[in-house]
Amino acid sequence: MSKATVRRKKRQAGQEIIEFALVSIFLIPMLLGSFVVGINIIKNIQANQVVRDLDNIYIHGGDFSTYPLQQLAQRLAQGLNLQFPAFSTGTNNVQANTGSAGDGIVWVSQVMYIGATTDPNCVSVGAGNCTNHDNFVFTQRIVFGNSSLNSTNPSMLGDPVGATLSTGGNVQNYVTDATAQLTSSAEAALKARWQTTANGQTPLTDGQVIYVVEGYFQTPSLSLGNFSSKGVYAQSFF
Amino acid sequence: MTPTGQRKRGERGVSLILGTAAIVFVVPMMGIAIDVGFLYSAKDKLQASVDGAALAAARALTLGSTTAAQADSAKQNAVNWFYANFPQSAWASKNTQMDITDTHVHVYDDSTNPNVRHVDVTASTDVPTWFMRWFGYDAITINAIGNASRRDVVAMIVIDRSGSMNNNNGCSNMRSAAKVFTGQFAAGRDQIGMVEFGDTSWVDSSPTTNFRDVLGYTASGTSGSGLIDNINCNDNTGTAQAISLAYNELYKVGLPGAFNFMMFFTDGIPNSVTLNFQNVMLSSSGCWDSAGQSLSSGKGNFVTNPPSWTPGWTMPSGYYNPNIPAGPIGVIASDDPSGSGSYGVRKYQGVSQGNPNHGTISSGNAPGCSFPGNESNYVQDFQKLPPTDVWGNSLVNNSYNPITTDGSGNIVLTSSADNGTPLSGNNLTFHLAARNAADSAAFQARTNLTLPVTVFGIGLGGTSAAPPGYDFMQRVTNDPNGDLYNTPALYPACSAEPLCTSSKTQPQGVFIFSSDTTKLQQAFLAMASQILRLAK
Repeated sequence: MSKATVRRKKRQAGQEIIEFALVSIFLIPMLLGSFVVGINIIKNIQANQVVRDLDNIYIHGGDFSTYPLQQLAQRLAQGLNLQFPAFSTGTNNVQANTGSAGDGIVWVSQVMYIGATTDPNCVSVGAGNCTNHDNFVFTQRIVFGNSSLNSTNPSMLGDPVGATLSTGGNVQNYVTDATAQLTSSAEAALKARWQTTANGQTPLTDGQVIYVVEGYFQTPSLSLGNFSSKGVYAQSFF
Repeated sequence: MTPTGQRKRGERGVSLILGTAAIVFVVPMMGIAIDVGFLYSAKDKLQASVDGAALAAARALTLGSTTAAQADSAKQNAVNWFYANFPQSAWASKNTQMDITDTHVHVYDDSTNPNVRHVDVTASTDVPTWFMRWFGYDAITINAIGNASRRDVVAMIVIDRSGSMNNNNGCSNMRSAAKVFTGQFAAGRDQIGMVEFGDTSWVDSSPTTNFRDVLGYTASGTSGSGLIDNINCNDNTGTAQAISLAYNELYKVGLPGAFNFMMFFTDGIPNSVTLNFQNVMLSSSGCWDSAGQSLSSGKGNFVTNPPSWTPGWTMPSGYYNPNIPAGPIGVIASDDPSGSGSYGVRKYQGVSQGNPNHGTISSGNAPGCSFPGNESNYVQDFQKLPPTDVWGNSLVNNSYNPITTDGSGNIVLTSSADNGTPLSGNNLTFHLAARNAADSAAFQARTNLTLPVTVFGIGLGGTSAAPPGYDFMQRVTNDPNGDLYNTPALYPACSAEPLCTSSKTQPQGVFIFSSDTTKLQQAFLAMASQILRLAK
């Protein structure tokens, strides 16, 4: 190799790197972005499929207060890292089986619309006692997964705080107990979706039940600079 | 050869050019991947929405007094559920197509099973693209189809109208709750009938599609007047007879393609059982056979000419147990254990609906026997019970309620109370026998090879001094679960109770315990909800 060539090589050393760096300014963010978006789409699809499948099981009588059904949910949510504590020996039903591990939480709810005071639900308890008339109420609520996610990313329906729930998640006195009602924001959201005549819909009538499964799954591994994603939420109304 | 330095100068920026050129291909590729992912995601949500709509529509096939009205309800429910799951503009979509027309919601009968209806739901929407529009694809139309089915129901409700039901408004609350329960089912398609029972039983109605009118529920609510309204509460608890009579009605309808079940309601432990006393009469009884001969004359039993203590007892064809004999048939019954109370042998069947007082075996149809004059005098005529009741339900089950038997399998009445002294405990032999018989009756109904049925049960507390045992109700319904409805839970899972057994190979029902009469309606509604979820 001639001396001139060596000199030219020295002058050109690193040129491709600089050029590649210039291109990378566009390429790498695009790759990272598409990676994050792609994974999020996948997680979103997974989450939607999980809540849909769980809701399908639920509406057909599946009891998610039992460990075998919660384990089934865990298997369906493979890859979403849904974790919860094992039941203690002799325990068959747990309404809220939550721990601090894992990246997911699932809420399983049965919501009923209580009609006017003249409708059967109110008549059965006496119109004067029908605290929850013209409202949506929880008639069942089961939750399992990572409880810390419940505070950062709560259920869209809220929680039946103060209501008396059995180990199977059934809400007692849901016609008369005001704490069985959904939160006001959830009530408004459900009424906007259900008690409307838009799109050819008709409002629900007294006693109609909605089987709802919600899931939130955080995706901490996808926090890449500005391309971060906290997680995906999915819900299903059956 | 061109000098190396010149070549290199000519190649300056090639990486940049190549990289830029690559972006021209890479970006659209990534864009297409993202668009496809987005479309797939939207399709997934659309699919979940039509699935939910189809299931909700199938559930709504109970709403309406005619099949046409039910189809309309189904279509409307499909629309309601679809748009709740997939609102307009969801996923930035446009032109979503879903309404109550047959194109989108199709309700139809199964081609082979006349007891099954199907609902197909079809929807479509246009989802915009972000990158593919560069190639002329502004939006992609996605479609989804969902379907669901509903089996018609054939059911008998079995209502305990024993005397304790009068406490704390139990009887009236039960009537209201039972009517609301029947109102949850599909008039014109489902068939519901009713048996009521004290220590005797009465078939108020065979399963009928007109149950809303017949039983008292109307389309407008609970203002109707029917057979449920006419129930008066009195007498004891002859559970086995009632379950067998109810099962018999389901058997006669004979639609295995439908969802067959029994809805059993009671507020007390069984304390009465219907028996044929033919082979357990004492030769010293003084009873006469149908030829007018007294057993004391040496016949020993009624083998040749058993009298009929209940002339109305006939068994027409079509019954699931063809071997039910005629003969000296009566109900041996007692009040719940309370230290005193009536007990003895009575006529097998209630006089009529609305007249719940048990019949009395008279000297006219049980000549010579001691008990027609005083029902508790039966110990002068027999001191054993046959091993089965008239329906073939076993009174003996040593793994449940052990009972002493003799060499012929007949049950020996052992306690002093069984032998005629005032009642003094919960374990009277015929209390145990009645419990075993009821358990056996439910077992037979669940395991009949021709028509196995599911048994659901509601127990009521707060009215009877001896409410139905939890393990008894779990056994009858074959429910393996503990209490899922009360707080705190009143009973554990079946597996944790020494006397409870359940089987996965038999139809598994549900047991709900209502701790007082005010909660009865919610218990019945919860049960209806459970049943309707399974009628698919």
